[in-house]
Amino acid sequence: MESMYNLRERVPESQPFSEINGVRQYDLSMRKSALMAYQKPARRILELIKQGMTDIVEVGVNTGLLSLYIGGKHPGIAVSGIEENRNLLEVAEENLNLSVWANTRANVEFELGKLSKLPFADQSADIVFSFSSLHMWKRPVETLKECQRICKPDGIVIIEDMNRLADEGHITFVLQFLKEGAKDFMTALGASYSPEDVRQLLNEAGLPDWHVYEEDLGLIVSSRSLSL
Amino acid sequence: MTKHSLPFWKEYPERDNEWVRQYPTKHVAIREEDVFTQSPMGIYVHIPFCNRLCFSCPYIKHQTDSGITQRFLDALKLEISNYARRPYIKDHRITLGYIGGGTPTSFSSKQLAEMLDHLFGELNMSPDVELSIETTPVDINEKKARTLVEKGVRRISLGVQTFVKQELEDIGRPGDPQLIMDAIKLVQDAGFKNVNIDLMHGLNGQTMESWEYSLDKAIELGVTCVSFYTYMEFAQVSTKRRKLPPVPSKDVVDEMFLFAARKLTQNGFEGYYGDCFAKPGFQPRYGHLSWSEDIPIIPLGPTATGHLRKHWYFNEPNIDRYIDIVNSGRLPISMGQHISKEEAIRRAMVLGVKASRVDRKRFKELHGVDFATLFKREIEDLQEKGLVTMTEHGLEVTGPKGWYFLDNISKAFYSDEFKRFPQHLGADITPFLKNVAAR
Repeated sequence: MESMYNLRERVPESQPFSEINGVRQYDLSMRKSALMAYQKPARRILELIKQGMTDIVEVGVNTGLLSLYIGGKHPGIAVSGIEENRNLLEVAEENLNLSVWANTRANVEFELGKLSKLPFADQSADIVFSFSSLHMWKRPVETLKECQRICKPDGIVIIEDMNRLADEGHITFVLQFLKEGAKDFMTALGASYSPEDVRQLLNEAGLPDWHVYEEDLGLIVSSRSLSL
Repeated sequence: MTKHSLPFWKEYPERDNEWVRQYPTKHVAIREEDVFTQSPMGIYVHIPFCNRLCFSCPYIKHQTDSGITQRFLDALKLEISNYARRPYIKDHRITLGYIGGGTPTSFSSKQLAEMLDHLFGELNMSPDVELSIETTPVDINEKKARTLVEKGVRRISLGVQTFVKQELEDIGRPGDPQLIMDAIKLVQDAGFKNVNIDLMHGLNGQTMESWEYSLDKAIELGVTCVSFYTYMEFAQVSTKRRKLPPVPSKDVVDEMFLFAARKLTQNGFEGYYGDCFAKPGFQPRYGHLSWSEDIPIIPLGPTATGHLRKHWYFNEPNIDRYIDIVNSGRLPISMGQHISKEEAIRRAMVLGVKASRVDRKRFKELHGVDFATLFKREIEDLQEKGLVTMTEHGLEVTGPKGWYFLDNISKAFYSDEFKRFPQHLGADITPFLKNVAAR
């Protein structure tokens, strides 16, 4: 059957989020209407949190919404977010400022840094997670290796992003709800990986044992098996 | 074949000497009314404004703004006139109509009269056209109600959702059940004999007891139709939403549906589309006829959906663009699908079962095939699941279980090509599709 969308080939975004006002608009639309997309990843991370965990890292924080949510639920755990896009980081900082002003008990920090050289010690994080960022990573193979390096031996890496070759019905369904954000969504989807692409990246990173799952519009990469 | 003994009929090798020039050959008396009969047609009018935007509603709507409502109404009238000029439309009479939204009664009574006068003035409206309109308890007053009745609207539907004060407040509605009861009485007194109310189950904090209370109130108030919908909690952050009690579990929500179906049928209502119930004689024909009888529907207004001339399509969703296109003299058709003969047959099943029954004889008259043979495998599967039964007349959805799973039943008849695509909500996704003709 012929596909409806031009998504067969991956087209990386040349300069994602290069305008601060565009990022603020994106953040606002996420907060107002696209939080649906955050629900499952948030629940998955919360279910992975165990007694005694101390450190969680988000790789590519976007505008900080997910780290703030997780941190707010677990004020005893340090949540550190790294972002290499300055505009995204700036808006994440704005969101963090507001949450501090609103007396959040969360222990959350955001930092500018290369995702291919994470500023954390080996085996220092209980959970390393990423959401809707993988498709923008400049050096995905190195970043995957870094996720592995900073994760504790009994910890878990869980990376979620869109699946470029997701069922077209899901794509159509989401497109219908996005209105103004539809163009950016399709650009991001076009820059996203397919399950096969991700397996290739994992192989190049020397992580062939990691798991790749497909779920609705997304794909989930995990260092351990998950029961979805 | 029997050998013909008619004087003008010769069998080969004898040469027939009747010069054939007509067919069929048997003739009966015919009048001009038979030749120029007007087939039935429906209209769907979408008024995309609300005086108050409900966060629980997924449909495309905009805050009523006097700066744009009149410009919109002028465009809507132009669109109606554009359709009315077309020979194909002139060959039909409008027997069904539904005015939805949004909240159509966000218009003033003067604007409502203007719209209805234009509809009746321009289109061949049948004297007994079944015209329905949607409103809310807040957006209706005596003047509007009387205008609607006077101008030919026969059925009114109020978005009530619940009669419980706290539940009303928690979905962002004015929390005064008395206001709702007054509104129902107001439309009844204004002359509406057919009054529908929408109720929601699965609301924050709703219990089986409070659901029963709302159903009892509906029955007690003498409404003729009750439709109920499952509440979808949208993920949004607001200080208000965060403090709400949780929605009932899925099991309770399911049970609420079955409970309502039983209660309403015990109180003289009959189910017609799964979650819609009506007193005998008050079931609206709009959906049933447009789906089961394949009656074409003209879509009017932004995001309105209809089907005409082997296409289903919907209109431009953006109000400003809609107005510009209509003012340029074109119809605001934005996107849809050509319906092939095979898909027309499927469509008749997909939508036909939504009316809870598909008549075998009528289906064959309309579509030339026996659906029971064509969809034997799908129907047997649905029968095994206890969702439908086959009678001598055709397919019957088995209530109440089948009513609850009506959309599952419907999708059993999708073709493979359309199986994985969602229902359309009116957003224009054409810019993202491959091979779309330039517009």
